[in-house]
Amino acid sequence: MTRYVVSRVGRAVLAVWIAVTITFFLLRLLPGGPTTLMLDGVNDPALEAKLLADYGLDQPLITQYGLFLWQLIQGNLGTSFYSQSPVAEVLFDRMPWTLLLAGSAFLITLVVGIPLGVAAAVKRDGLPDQALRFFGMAGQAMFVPSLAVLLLAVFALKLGWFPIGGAVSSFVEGPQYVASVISHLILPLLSLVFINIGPYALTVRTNMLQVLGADYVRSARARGLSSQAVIWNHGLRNAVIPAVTLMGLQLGTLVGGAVLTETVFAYPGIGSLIYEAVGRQDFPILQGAFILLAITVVLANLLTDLVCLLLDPKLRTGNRA
Amino acid sequence: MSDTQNVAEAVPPVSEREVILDVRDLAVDFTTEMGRVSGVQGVSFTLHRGETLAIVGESGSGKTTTINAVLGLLPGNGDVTSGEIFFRGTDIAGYSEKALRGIRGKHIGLVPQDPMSNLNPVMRVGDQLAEVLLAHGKATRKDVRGKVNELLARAGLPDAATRARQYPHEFSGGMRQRALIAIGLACQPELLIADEPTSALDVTVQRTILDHLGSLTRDLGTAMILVTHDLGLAAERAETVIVMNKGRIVEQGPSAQILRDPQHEYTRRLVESAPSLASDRMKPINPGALTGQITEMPVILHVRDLVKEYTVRSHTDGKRKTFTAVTGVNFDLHRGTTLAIVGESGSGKSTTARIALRLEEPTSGLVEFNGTNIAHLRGRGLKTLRKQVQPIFQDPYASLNPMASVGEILEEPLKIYRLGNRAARRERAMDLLEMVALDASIYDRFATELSGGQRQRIAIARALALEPDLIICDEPVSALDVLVQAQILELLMKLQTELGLSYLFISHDLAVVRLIADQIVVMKAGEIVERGAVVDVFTSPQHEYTRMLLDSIPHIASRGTAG
Amino acid sequence: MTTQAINTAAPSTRGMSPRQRTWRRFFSSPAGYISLGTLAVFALIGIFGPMIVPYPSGLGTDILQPPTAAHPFGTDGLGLDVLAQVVWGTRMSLLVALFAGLLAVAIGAFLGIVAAYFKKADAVITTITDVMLSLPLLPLMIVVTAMVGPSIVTLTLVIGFFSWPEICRLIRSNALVVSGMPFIDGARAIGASPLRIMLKEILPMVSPLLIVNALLTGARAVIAEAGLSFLGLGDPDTWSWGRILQSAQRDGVLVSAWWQTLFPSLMILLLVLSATIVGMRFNDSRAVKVKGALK
Repeated sequence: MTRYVVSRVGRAVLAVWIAVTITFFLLRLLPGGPTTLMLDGVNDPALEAKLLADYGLDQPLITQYGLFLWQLIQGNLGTSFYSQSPVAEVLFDRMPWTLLLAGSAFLITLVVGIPLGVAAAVKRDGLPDQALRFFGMAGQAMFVPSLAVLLLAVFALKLGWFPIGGAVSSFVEGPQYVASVISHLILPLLSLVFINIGPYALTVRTNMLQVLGADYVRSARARGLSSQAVIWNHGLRNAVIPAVTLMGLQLGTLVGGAVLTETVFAYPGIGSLIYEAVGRQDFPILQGAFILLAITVVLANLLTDLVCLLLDPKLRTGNRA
Repeated sequence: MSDTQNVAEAVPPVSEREVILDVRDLAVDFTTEMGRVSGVQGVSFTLHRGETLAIVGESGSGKTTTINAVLGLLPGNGDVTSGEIFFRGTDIAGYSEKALRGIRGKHIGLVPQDPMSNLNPVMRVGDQLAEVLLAHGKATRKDVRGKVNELLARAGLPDAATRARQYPHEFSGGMRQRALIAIGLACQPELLIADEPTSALDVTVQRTILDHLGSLTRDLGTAMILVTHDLGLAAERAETVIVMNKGRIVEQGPSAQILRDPQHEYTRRLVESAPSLASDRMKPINPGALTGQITEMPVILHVRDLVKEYTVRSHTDGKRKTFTAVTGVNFDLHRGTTLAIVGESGSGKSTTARIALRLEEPTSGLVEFNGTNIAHLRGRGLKTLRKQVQPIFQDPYASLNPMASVGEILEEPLKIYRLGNRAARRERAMDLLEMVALDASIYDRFATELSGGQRQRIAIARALALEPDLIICDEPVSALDVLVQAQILELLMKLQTELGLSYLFISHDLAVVRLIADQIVVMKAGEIVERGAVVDVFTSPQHEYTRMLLDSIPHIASRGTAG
Repeated sequence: MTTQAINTAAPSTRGMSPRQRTWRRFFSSPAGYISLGTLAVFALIGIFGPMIVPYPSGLGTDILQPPTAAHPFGTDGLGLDVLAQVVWGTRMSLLVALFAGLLAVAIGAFLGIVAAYFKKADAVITTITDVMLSLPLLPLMIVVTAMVGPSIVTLTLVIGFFSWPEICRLIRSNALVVSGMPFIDGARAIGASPLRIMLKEILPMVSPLLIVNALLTGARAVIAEAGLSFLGLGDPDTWSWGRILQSAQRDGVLVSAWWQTLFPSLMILLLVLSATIVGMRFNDSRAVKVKGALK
């Protein structure tokens, strides 16, 4: 068990380190170096020298890398080209909204997706199964912004049930604030959940079918147990382990979807920040946003691994994963 | 076959007792991609209280389909199309899933085939047993713990209270099967169906499990259906035997009578070819001069002080440990003869074979082939060795590349050594097919289309392609049905005489070894415990472990020195 | 140890190679040829469309026109014909999907088979694969594309290079089953070199999976390309479906100029859907299956 935890934590650290390193070297190894991006075509050797010195870019690469890691550990992600404010500050302003959106999409996908997949597997080829297969396929093939626009057009513009963008109305307090947050959240959330839940539930369904075909399930039936006992104790308890692992792996995709969704709905999270930063060529923001999202996803992934530890006795009693 | 008469004791008549199960004219069909396929047809039999009935057949004979129909557990594409299944006087063939639930587990227990896959991996063993007791009202929440411990103890699990709280992966195969027996008998059913209950276990464990199962059912007065592919085992354990072939019952009757006087052609062949029943060695040799003759032949494979160690991670604390697979192994294989290495899984016999094939390198020791040490051979020397030493593996389904045609498979070794042109290679492939008695038309077929026996013939043909001196057979017949086993063994013997081949023959099955080997080496836990000429080892085993292995073969023990 | 690791179809189709049987089954239902037909239509549009429809550039006079006879898909904020953009975008999306898919499959298959066959390489490759899988790929692609500078080559390389881990994982787990099968030992014992074993024995066994995955990865590449272009990281010199949506987003008319959103969206949906169906159908039709980690 300790070995499992240590190996998962080690992998998480490794993942973050690789993510950070990729972005560092990308920025430095570009033809012309990072100052080209900052100078943006202006030919001013004095300014360039000053910039190089300011950012420590005249140091050897390895020193820069060490400095970069050191600053990162202290939470220093550099300064935004555009607003000149610290990247970390900008990110932390936006992060709560992304956490709210992606986090609730994650939970809903998990909580609704598993029963959906299980129900489809139990009544194979039944109506829910066929519906799931259809929507699962559609979810896989749908481009997030397309769906987001569709939802906007129908529910915000045509029916007027929800606001067309943003995260919260101005000048509201107390319960109204909460209500406003929720009504702003629903459409982006829906589009994110729809894209993710179909493929996820389909995989849960495949897992569950595999488990239902296992010898121990046939044996459980041969013991005269009720179908609930067979499905819950013998089927679901086994199918849920790979389902949770899988959700951990799908987190990256979910966050990617969130970036696109936020852009369409002008939802003020990291995603729309990325969109703005792309337009402004604000590389420190892009780099910081990626590092922050990577850390978030890796941490959430670690969390799902630990949940698996609770679910799988083989991991708990020491046999290797 | 005269010596099989005393096999089964005279049985008290059971026909007056209550009829537990009465199957009449049962037929099952399956819907497949190719349309309706018949699973079983016209199956009828009767089972009385306390009686043990064995259903014997090879894979695909319909024996499993029959018991699945009785349990109402046919796979989704299978239907009972006609016939009745009377369980204690009521026809349950058309019962709903819900009605069957009251019968399964409570009145009809099941001991499934593979203990490794039939326990729920995420549920404590005790909970899986308790679940059955609670579902059928045989225990209350209060007294269920005690009953679980009692049942596990009765099934022969020491320290039952601790075991009940463990998960299946903490159990060995034999312990799991004991737990499954405890579950199958938990509600004291009138009928227990044991589906190949020991075929996945080691031979020495098999016997104790079967004994235990026998005594438990006797004590409880439970009738039992024993499903098995082993006619010898069936005759030893059951009063009545049903022989099935291609979905039909070809013969049924008292087990002694079936062994002594099989009526149907198929049963006759089955009795003749079952290794555990056949009495004589296939090879025509003179037993008197045997030992002398063999040792006069030059040594082709000379193994001294062989040691193979692996680094493994411990299951409990995750620390690296050294696991010794093989240690201090010595033997000489003489040209033109067969040396068998016998042992159970984990005995180190397969590791030895893999080292002899130079698929693995030994940690230390000497492996000489024709006087050259091959233990750490590489490069050109290795390539020369590969030509002279060829393998035949156990599972004919997995030992041929399913994406390749028979012709491609046979010609691959020739291609690797750039022997002959296209036409010459084809001609050689045809010769090889003839050697293993396969029709030339099979050349263009794909391995996936062939039967297990045909595939093993192809594997043998390919092993012969480079005209090797030594063939290493790793359990070459243990995945085959008995009838086919005999044919393949015969073919191996014939080729040995014709081509002067030497065989290193790896097997867990002493009965098979007796038919083919000249000399025998018995391995246990990585070491050789006994060696000698086959006749000597079988007639007067010196080591206790060898005696145990011999005892666990149905009937050999009772026939004493018949071999 | 007698586990039968290979499923084989019943020998009803005598003398057909496993490959022939697979395709026979593939075309046995309408889903097979309809989806493959759709893909073919896309290919035709991508190849011949731009020869017929002029490249949309410059400024038009009819701005943001809904569909008319002259402009069946309407016009955008610069007065350019959306139909022409969609047609040119098809070529672009297909090219990116094709080459990114091939790149990802090549890297994934190579690393997967090497990891499965060489135990020493396995730990390293598996760890890297797992790490790559746990990172949020779209944000990573955004950072890289933004820094390297958007172009069709960048997009293809970035998408291809970051899409291999999933394929690698799948191929590794299947190749692991294959390389544990006795016929691999058999090949070693007759003297076949590691390269020959990987190319002639393992690769053919996993190649049907590669076809499936090339299709699925291609489909995902279409979506990834659209995503990057939508965020403004598309090649500014070519049209792509994502760029059409991007220009609508930039003009703030994603919803009001519905034709600008609808048609590229439909193209993405249809292409990805048909590629997915072809892939899944092919997967289900495979004559020889390796038990283990299938999709």
